[in-house]
Amino acid sequence: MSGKATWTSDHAASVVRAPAAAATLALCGLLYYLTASLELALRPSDNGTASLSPQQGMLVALLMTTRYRRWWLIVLPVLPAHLAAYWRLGAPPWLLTLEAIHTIALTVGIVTALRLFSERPNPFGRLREFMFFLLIILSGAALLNIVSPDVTLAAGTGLDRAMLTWRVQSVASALGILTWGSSIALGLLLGADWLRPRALAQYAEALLIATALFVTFYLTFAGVPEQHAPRVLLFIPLLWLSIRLGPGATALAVAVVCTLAAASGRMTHETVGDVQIFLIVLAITVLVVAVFGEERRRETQAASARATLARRQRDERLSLMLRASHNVPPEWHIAHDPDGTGFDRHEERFARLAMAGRITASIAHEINQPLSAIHHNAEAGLLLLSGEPLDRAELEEIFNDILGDNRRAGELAGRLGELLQDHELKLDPLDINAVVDDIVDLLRAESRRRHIHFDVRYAPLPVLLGDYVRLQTVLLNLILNGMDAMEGLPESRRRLDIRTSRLDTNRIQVQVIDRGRGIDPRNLPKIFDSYFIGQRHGPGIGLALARSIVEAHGGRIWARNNADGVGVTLAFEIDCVGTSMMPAPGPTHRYGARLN
Amino acid sequence: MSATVLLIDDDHRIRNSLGRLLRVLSYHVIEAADWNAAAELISTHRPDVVVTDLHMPERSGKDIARLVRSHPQFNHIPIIALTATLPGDEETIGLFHAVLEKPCTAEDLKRVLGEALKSRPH
Repeated sequence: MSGKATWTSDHAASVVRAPAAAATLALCGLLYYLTASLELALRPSDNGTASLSPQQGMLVALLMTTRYRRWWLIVLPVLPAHLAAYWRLGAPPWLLTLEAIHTIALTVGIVTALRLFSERPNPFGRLREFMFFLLIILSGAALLNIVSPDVTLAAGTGLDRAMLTWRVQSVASALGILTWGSSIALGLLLGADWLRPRALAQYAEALLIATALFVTFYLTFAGVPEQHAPRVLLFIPLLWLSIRLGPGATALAVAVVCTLAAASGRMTHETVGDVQIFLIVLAITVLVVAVFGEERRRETQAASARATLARRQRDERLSLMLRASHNVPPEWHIAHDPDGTGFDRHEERFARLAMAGRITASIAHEINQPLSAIHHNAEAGLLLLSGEPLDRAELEEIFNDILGDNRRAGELAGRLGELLQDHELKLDPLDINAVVDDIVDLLRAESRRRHIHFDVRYAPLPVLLGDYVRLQTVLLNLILNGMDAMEGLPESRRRLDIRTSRLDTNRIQVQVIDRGRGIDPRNLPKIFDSYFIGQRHGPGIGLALARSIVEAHGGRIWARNNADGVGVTLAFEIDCVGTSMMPAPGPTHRYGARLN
Repeated sequence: MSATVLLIDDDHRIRNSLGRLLRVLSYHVIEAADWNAAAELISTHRPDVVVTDLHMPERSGKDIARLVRSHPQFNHIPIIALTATLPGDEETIGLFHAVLEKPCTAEDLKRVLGEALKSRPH
């Protein structure tokens, strides 16, 4: 539904060529003739006053959706069409002319007021604007019908007759504009959007509503008059329709119901006012509900679009910051994928930095341990040097410890550096157990900080051809994901099992098994998609990056909820290059919190 | 007779190096890697002062301080915390006689231990 258009238009667009003008004039005249004839047919047989004015609704809709400069094309054919439609009544031509002029004045007056006080041509998108539209229609119909020719003539026969004529004509105008006017205006504003294909379920629902509408209409207005069901029954399918299908379908349904009600022969001289009031209350209620629903739908869509835009802008900012901070040439862009990992250099680097950022504090703490030991040993050594006799054996032990601690600090710093380093995909013969071992070592402090117990079991595995650092990235992602999943659990349940195994002669598997909350089965296929953020933490590209790295190695990655219903297994499988075995680093490594 | 210091740290490098420094400073040092071992040593050796790491996996330095403070026989033992990151909350600091930043100098260690030993009830 168009909500952005404004009433204003440029001059060039409003210029009309002669053939087009003639065709428009003829079309408008025909439409007026048809709708006026319908109005005539809907008049109660014992009453000469209109009960519903579809021609006024049609005129309002055309004027609402047309520029000021083209209004003459709509207004000009009204007089001849009015004369043609109402000639059969045998009324004098001057009276028919006055009626046509009054219809023009009423419709032009209402649409002009709408345009003067409202910024948008479509009042069906927001409740506040629709309420204003209602106010203009009701007050315009009531005020302008005071001077209608029929009311003026009726005033000559008595005030009561004039009041009745005014009331019936006012409601007929308001009802015509609200039902026919709204549905035609919405049809013109929506254009081809009306005809766009819908889901099968929507067609089925529309059919169901139409059936319910037919049944309730039949019970209310058709059939045996003495056995009529209460009219409020009609509210049920119409409210259902207004909530589910929006203002367009609601306006159309209301127009059909009101027209059929007027044609049902139930509007006699006595009952016309009563039925009219019921119909206008029905129309206002269901249209207000439909517009309110439409407004809520739009707000939800707008909020979703804003969130998407904000996320995209945030990602662009991060990308720019990354580029600026690392002086990467601007030629690198998203499509650049030299490593065949499905990710460009920026995205991969961003994901790795984001991961490393999450564990840097723990690694810093881990590096601080051997550095502190070096400091303590140096202090002890200095004190020993100032004493007598010199304890050479103790001093030698101190220096050996200092060397060992220095090596440990260097290893940790080196591993962190490897993780952060940027290089082309490089395939070397490697032992996946060593990759696991290094990552587990790097995460030791993090597991202690989070009170998570690692149970690592290695199987002897053949040599694999792979990129050491990128496979570290995969493991780090899977392990951090498992650790995140166990946040908030009692400490005794925070256990992460890491298993390496050989599937067959030349295929190895690494599993990371957490005991956390599990993943909604509907989301399982999506967790390796870019920017999928489920219940877990992270920037939403870590697991996608892991998948692309595994796939670049010719392997596959998968996730499944554990068979016992607790936690998730994330795993990857990669083919080996041969059958020569690497020795496992040790039977079992246990790090982190001890299980209670 | 030299005072007995119970040193609790889960990292063997720290226990090894800090224990050596304390011994060079003429203290008698007993070492524990966790609370279970520490509890055993406290009841058998009755240390004069406890020096503990704050961040340990199973029972943290805070847990250990609370456990010692709640024991009627050992609640008088001064406890010194060692940490790479100084705590910001008064509640944690209040549990200890002193909180030392890791690594600490021999001078600071000597001073703080001296004060802690002086504060003991005789």
